Amino acid sequence: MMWLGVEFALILFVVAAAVFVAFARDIVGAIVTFAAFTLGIAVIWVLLAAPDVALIEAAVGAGVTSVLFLITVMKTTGMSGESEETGARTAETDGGSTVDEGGAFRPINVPALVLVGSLAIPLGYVIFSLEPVGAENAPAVVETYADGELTPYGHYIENTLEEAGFPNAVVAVLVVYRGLDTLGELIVAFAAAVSILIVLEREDIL
Amino acid sequence: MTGTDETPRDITDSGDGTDRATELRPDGGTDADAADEDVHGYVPEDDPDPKEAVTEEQPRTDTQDTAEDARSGAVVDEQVEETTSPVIQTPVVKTVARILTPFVVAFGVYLTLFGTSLPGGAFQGGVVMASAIVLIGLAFGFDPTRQWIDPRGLAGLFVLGAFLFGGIAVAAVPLGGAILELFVFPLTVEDMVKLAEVAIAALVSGVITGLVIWLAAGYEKAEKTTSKSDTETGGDDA
Repeated sequence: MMWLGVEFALILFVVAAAVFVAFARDIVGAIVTFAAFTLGIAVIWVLLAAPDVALIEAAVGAGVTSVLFLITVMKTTGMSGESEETGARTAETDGGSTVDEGGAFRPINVPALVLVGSLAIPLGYVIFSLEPVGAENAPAVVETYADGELTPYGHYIENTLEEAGFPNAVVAVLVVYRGLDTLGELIVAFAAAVSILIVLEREDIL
Repeated sequence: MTGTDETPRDITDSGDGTDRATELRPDGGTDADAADEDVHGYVPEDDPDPKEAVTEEQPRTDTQDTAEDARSGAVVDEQVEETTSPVIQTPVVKTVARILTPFVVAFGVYLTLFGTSLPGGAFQGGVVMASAIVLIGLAFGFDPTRQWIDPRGLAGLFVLGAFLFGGIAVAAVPLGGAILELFVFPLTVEDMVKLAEVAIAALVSGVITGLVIWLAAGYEKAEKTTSKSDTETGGDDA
């Protein structure tokens, strides 16, 4: 019961942070709030018993992505004074009649709202049609089909320890069972790093 | 949260009431000028005295820089230096980064090596190790961090990771298995997985560190060169 309260508080926090990020006029503040939002999501992953995902979410989402956003802002508009300037430009383009340019929040962008809605409504439909977390017949928890055969989930849970010799099924899937996929991921990451060096004309360090 | 934030906004709006009244005028030209004067820090392009405003105002695209260059070169140089200067320079952040970094790196190594039996893994460990460098970059500035890190070592990190994992993948073939079949090696599968995890962590940490460090450094090498060499490189690319 206590965890239920914690989860509700976290979800409230995450939703409020997301709304703030979408409407905040102060870009740096929005980025910091985005990091807090991602950290809230990471804690939710921990509560959902997915610590591997939580680690990635906290390190990549809250750490590296926020820093990349900060670098982008630093490189383009600068760390100070961008909020006032954005406000002035919005007031210019919109004619200034409906826009309160000194406010802390942006007005609602209708095309963006339609786009987000067309994405969020199907996603919400899918989420609410799923079994609740931990339900006995939730797809991710079913270890055997009706005829007694193991599902992929059941196969990895049952066989990881004896086939691979260690208990973490996530790592076993990543390296042992689906190693070629991981090799492909590494090739993508490697290509990304090389592309950055080429685009920034720093390939001479190699 | 949003409710409490809206109250001070209304107060500032009522303070700017005259501003809104001027904007409601029908002619667009004076409208824009009035907004420009009132909003702090914003200077239009044809401002006769841009010197003070430029130091206050960070945003400059390349075309704006070249346009300003004809008028006031010194100010633009100062502006460029300011843009590439360290982000946050407070002793609190520096001290926290100095204390935390060894633990973050150790946690990354721990996640990498013990991801086989505990939550974690190579991707997590690599990202956590890279975030230690990102923390240093945030605290001490990205330019000193980039000079502190040997770029060849950083590139060698992810090249080493790629070749180690690729080597493990290919080495299974002469030993009689398929690509990446870890059961054919003389070591146990767990040890081979740990070796592969080290490779993945090296690649991921190298890529993420390089991503942040080099993107923070940006395109400065091309900015320093003249426009003639820019067109030359463009021709080479085409």
